Amino acid sequence: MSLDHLFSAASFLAMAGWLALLASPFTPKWSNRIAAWIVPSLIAVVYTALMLVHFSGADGDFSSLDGVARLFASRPVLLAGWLHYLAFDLALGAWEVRDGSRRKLSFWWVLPCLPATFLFGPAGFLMYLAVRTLVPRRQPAMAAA
Amino acid sequence: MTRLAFAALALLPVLALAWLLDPRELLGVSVWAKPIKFAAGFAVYLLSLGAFATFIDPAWRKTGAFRWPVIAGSAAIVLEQAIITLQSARGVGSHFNAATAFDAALYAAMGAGSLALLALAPVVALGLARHPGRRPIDDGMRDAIVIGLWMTGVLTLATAGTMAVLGSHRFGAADLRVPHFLATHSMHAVPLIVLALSPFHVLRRQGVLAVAAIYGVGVVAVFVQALSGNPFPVPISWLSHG
Repeated sequence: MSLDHLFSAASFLAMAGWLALLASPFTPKWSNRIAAWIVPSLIAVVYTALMLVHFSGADGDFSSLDGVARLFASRPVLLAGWLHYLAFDLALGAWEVRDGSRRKLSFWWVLPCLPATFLFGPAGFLMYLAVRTLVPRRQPAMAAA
Repeated sequence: MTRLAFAALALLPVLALAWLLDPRELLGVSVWAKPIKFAAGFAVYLLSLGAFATFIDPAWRKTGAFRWPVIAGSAAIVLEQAIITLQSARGVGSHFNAATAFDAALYAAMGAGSLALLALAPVVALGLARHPGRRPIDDGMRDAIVIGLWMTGVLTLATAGTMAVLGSHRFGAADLRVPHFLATHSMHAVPLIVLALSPFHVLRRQGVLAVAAIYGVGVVAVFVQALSGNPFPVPISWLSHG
């Protein structure tokens, strides 16, 4: 099992998770199970195994940008870093969907935040924060403008 | 204890994947062999203790006399597994490793922890013997579990203690982990033998004591044979390595 195989497998899983989130207005429980728990856990198992195997042998540390650059010079640790993004961006996307649903936000407002979170994690998070703060909750009767 | 067992089992897929991905070896086997064996072993130990504990009076199980040893023993198991896993991740040994001050400190912590986790067996034995609950169990079976647990405690202390003193599991051509394995599994062997005999003859305390004595003598015999420096007569390749 090569690093490239693991990369492909994880990408496929993450994609499946994001697609599940797109389906969440129809299948909220399963979309959440897949995107918040199942896929992130699977990716996390691979991440943990990679770090157990390769972190001690990698040069570098978290104390400076140069230190981090040296860490990522190790290809397995780089893959682990990428898996970290994949897992957590997806878990965050699932939270955005759950939070939007709890706040009775129309899914149309949450929807664009999802690819933003998928591609540019923290930027998507900021976008969702803005939506969450500024978009009024759905009112049963017409609200004043 | 049962929930901690499931946590130990949950660790196994991660460790198995690490084993698949890691080329590093120690003493001829993957660095991940030991963490995997210990996680599986701790799971079996905890599941067994948890099952046996269901026959103890639930009221007594809430008292400090039970809860404190269980908390200490459980914490010790977490610590042991963490240290063994960390050392494997670092590519070095865990037991007997005194290469650096850090390694020696970890090994010392493991020693203290192993006593705490071994103490779980006699604690459950005492609970079963002195504070039985209302869940039905044959007197003979309960005696078998109590005696088996005590034997696990004493015989594991003897076999593991010897390895600690020697600083290795090797003694000449012998592998002391063989008698150690038989010692730790007294808590399973004695009840299982009594259970297997029960369709033919339901044993009472004397019969159980006889079974336990035979098993115990067997363990001691294997131990003495190992201390002669010769390998175990039956080849068990997955337990002993070159």
